[in-house]
Amino acid sequence: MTILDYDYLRTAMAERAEDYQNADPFPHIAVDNFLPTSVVDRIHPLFPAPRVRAGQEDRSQDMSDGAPAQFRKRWISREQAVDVAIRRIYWELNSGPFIQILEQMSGIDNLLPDPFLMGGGIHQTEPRGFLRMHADFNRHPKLKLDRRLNLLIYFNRDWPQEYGGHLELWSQDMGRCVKEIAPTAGRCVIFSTTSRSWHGHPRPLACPEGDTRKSLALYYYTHGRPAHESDGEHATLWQKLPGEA
Amino acid sequence: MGFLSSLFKAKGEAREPPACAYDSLDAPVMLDFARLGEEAVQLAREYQQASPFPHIMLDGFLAPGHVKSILQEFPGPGEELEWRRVDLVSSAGDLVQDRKLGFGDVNRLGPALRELLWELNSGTFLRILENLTGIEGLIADPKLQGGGIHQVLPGGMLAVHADFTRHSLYDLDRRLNVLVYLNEDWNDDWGGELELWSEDMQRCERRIRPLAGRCVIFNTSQTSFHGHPRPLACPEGRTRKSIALYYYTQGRADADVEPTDLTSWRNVPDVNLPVAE
Repeated sequence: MTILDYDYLRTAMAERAEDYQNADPFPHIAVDNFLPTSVVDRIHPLFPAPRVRAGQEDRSQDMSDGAPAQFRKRWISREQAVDVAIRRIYWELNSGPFIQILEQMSGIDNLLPDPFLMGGGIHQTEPRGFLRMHADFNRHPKLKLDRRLNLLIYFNRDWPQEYGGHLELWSQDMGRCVKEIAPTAGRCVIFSTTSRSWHGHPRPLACPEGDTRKSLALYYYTHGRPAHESDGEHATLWQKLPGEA
Repeated sequence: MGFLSSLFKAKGEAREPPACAYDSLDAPVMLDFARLGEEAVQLAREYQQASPFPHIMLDGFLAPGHVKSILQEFPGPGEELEWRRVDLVSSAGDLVQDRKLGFGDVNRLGPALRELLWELNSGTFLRILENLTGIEGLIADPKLQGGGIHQVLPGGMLAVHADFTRHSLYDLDRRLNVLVYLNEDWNDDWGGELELWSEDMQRCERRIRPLAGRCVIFNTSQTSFHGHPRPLACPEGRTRKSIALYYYTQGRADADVEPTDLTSWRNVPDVNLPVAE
């Protein structure tokens, strides 16, 4: 009675370690039907309606020139604030059997979950919202662990291409977008995080008012990381798109 | 295999499972997080000042109905699981761990046990532990190394010891033990009390019976001596059942604790024991 289908995930993830580790522009994978449609349908209505009024945007992470880093994006990390069905998904994604599959796929041993879900949990972005390209904070300030993997699950049913909100993965030099992944319901994207794993959905969402781009995010850590990835502790690093003022 | 996909496969085609298949997603949680959250704040001082080392005993941690559900699926010693069983003799030649079985692969346990183990590693419970113990930045062990479900067979024992202080896989510092007991109708004379001993191993300060629904939480250091060192007197067919979770931090402020991945065993002196609770 697990939520995840481990036979399927071993095939779709653990046995695709080479694809994951050699992916361009950095190790990543998109797994369709990661959650069955019935679970997506169960979780979708549990996303609370965002209550964001004009002037209440989180400007705490604005770029140095005052440009917003993220716009009309809200998230809930606190486990107790969400329905138990969502909590059970967190718990299973943070438990040993799933983490073992992540380790086999990524080649990263001894991954640790963050049950406090710092920066993670459920995310949603309203129409016209965006999340600028960025590389994630690389160290958990509370747990004192190194951030290694992001796992994103999308819950966007009936989401035509024109709505946008694709996850973009850019080259290390931020010269070009190498991959665009539509945030399709049931799809999971996992990628390795370093100080140059540039990702975001930087173009304003074109979905209609009343709809939002919905996702769930969990991050995984290790104690220590390879020397060639060690760039000193930093908060989120934001990037404008090439040519953007 | 996931429960939803197994339903699909049984029918040979994809179709929506009946509504009751969501029971596991929607079932109420097992632990009373709201009550435990309040108790953690109220009991923090008692916990942190407890002798011989910071600890607390919480009765009714697990409601009797949940204990029953868990016992129904608690695997017997003869079941075909890869039970860890290591009968240990210390370097001094003493038998220190005898007839103790452990198992930690959550996906091979039943839904009630899995649920409890998940809840005990959840962010909500970690916050409760932080408030109770005053230890910040607790890290759960998804692999449940050394933990999970435990049962000790008749005649078995676990000598008094201080736990390893360093997690060998993650290189983290071990800080807390959480033990939940599952023994219904446990006779006084069957023994198996958890004993807490003073740092100098001269006094047993507390004897806690392993009664169903009871939880014991304590700090681990190189001098947090504990065990159930006297052979169990329960009849054949009964075992002493518990759940054990260990929690870690990356680094620790009490720098006098030496990092070791060895368990430190002790003999108990022949002294008077406190009354068992």
